[in-house]
Amino acid sequence: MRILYVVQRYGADVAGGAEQHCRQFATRMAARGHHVEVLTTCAVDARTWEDRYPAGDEQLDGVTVHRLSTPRIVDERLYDTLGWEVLWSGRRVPPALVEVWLRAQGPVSTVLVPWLADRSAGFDVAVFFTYLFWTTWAGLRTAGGRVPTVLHATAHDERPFWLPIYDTELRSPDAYAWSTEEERDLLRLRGAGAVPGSVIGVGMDPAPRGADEHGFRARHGLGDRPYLLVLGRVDPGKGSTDLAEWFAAYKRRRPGPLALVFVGERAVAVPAHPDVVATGFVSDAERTGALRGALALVQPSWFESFSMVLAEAWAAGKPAVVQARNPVLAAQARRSGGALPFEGYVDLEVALDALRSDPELAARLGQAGRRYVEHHYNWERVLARYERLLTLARRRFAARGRRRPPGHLIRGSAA
Amino acid sequence: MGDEDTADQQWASRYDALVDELRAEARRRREQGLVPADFEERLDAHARSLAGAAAPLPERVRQALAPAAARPALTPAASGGARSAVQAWAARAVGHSLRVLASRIDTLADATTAAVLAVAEAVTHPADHTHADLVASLDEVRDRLAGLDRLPAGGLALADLRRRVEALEAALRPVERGWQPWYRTGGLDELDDRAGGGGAGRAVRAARLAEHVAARQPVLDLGCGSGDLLALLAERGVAARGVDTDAQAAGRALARGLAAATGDALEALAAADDRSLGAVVMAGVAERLAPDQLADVVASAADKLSAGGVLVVDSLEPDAFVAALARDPRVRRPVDPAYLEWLCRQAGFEGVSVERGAGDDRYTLVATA
Repeated sequence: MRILYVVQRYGADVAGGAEQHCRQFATRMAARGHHVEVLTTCAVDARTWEDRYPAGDEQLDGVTVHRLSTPRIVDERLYDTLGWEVLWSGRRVPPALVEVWLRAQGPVSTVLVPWLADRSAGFDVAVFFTYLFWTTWAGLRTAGGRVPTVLHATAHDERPFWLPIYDTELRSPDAYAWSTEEERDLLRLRGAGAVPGSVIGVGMDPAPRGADEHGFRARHGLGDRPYLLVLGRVDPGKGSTDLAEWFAAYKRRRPGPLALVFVGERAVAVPAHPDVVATGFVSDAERTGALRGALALVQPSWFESFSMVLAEAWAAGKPAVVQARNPVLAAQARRSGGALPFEGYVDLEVALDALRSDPELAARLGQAGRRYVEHHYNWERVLARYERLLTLARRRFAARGRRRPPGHLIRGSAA
Repeated sequence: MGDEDTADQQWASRYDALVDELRAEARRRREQGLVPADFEERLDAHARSLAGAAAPLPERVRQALAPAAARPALTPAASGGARSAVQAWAARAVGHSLRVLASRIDTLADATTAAVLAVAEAVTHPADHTHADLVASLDEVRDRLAGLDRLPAGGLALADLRRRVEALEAALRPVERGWQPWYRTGGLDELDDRAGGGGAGRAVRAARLAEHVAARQPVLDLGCGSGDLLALLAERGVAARGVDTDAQAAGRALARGLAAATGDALEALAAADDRSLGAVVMAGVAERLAPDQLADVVASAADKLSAGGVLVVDSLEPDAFVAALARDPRVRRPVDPAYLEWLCRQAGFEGVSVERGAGDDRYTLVATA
């Protein structure tokens, strides 16, 4: 199959979950003998979209990557002001202004639409990642009708998701690759019920052996203290600051050696506390070492469409404690039997007390999580499901017949 | 069942009890005021500020969409009305699309009227208007128009409407596929038994199948006929339901108090939630399906079975096919067990085994998800 991926960022230095997810699929589909190309930007940082990779083509792990430059044409002050107006004011904002906000969010490339108009029909299927960004909003519209399309929406219940500007986009793919059953239900509620799809999730490799737990402990001054681990960006929207505050309260009520370790880039500073450590961004090897030594993973995030870090912890046989107000985390915990749920401080306290006082319980939770990941997120199974999904999209496209390309009104783009 | 599977099932029930215990403990601590109350109040405020304006759909839209999720259940109570429920759902969906379309046209008409008035006003009193005002009005019209024409082939609302009309037409088509003879097709099964077709006979085969699936509930029996397997499972207290395109056969199963319905096997399987089934059984069905239908059933079963769930297929040995073809007009093509085994592995099944009874001209394939 000739597969084209369209994604806002792509590369080894890119930290976002959806982008890593895309890279995993592209690389592994190429390894299975498919011809895979990626259309993306030169950006690494999702806030500035500044060009960091050179524009042009490169080969990466058997995949041809086409990088487009994304000159930032709207200043951040305008983006923030518009963002408040569009997302938070509660007023009805004219569609043209919402589109300005969407473009200001970035990344926008003047070349993306003509590239897809010219070349997307040469692929068997075009796969888009993340409903939120302009690359998907404009790209799906251009490729739809020219080539079968699949969308990994990586959607969760957040304000932008409900904006009418996404109505068309969310209904237009030939098929959806849902991360979880909960994401599927959310998209159906949003009006995308007519689009078929499959719950694909993400594949997970078994945790590498020989991870250097002691090196991690030594580098961050943890000695032999037990610690809870939080993986991912330190951000109030991810629940990190609430968790730090609750942990401080927990330590007042349960003094002892227990520490809380945040591993991930810092969008905000972590509140200073003698028992809270923030390492910043670390290498994959160090991250695995951090997991190996942890008592449990805590996932306090309010917004997740899958939570790769949770699957990562389970793959390493670690138990987890998860924010159950997030329906995806609550359901994953229930399905796997590998995590204890909490909503508020008291639940967290009860869960931590239980984990610390009963090592056998912690081990059993971790084991259940590992079995769950091995069964559902084994790459071989995930990719078999995925190939069936791409075939479904192609069949659906063929059944509907080739439609007239949507750009036919634009001078010079007529097919 | 493997030791690990047993341990997993035991843990699943222990886990639920554990979470209940932890919740009860948290309730106790809250009631006793053992933690600062303002913690939880502040958390709720934070949650509201993050999620409060997530703009849930208006209630009327939510209601219009709700039936899409509530597929007709294959229970005796619902079976009589299953087709009409599907039709009603599809009709409501078309109605919803029409309402969305009408509302967009309304909005476009409002914007157009406002723009025309603005142009007229500007022509009458040129000094009172700026170019920007007019452009903004015209832009609004252009945006509304674009909203109607966002998709190729006639725009979003129209394309959506077309899809829904197609769904309605599909729902109105008879559930049964292909040829419908004038005679009672159940009689063919009796003929098959008398001729020794299928060797051990249906009752014995049903007992053999029951052994494979009894520990894996809920069971979905595709092509349940008059319910021989369902009855055996009911005796053992195993949750099971069945579906059959033959309304008379399904009716006999219903009359025995079994959870059977008339319907298409593929549609019944597709309607089940992912990973919700313990076993899917197809006895005497594979040889009656077209190749793409068989491939779709196997793929769909892989998605619908829970961890460790089984797909059990009982079918004719290719060697016995000619005799069966001559005897039963419903038989279409032989399915080689080696092909079926390959197909199951392609669909992601892990363990696949094929069993044969002595002197039997049928085989049973068991694939474990």
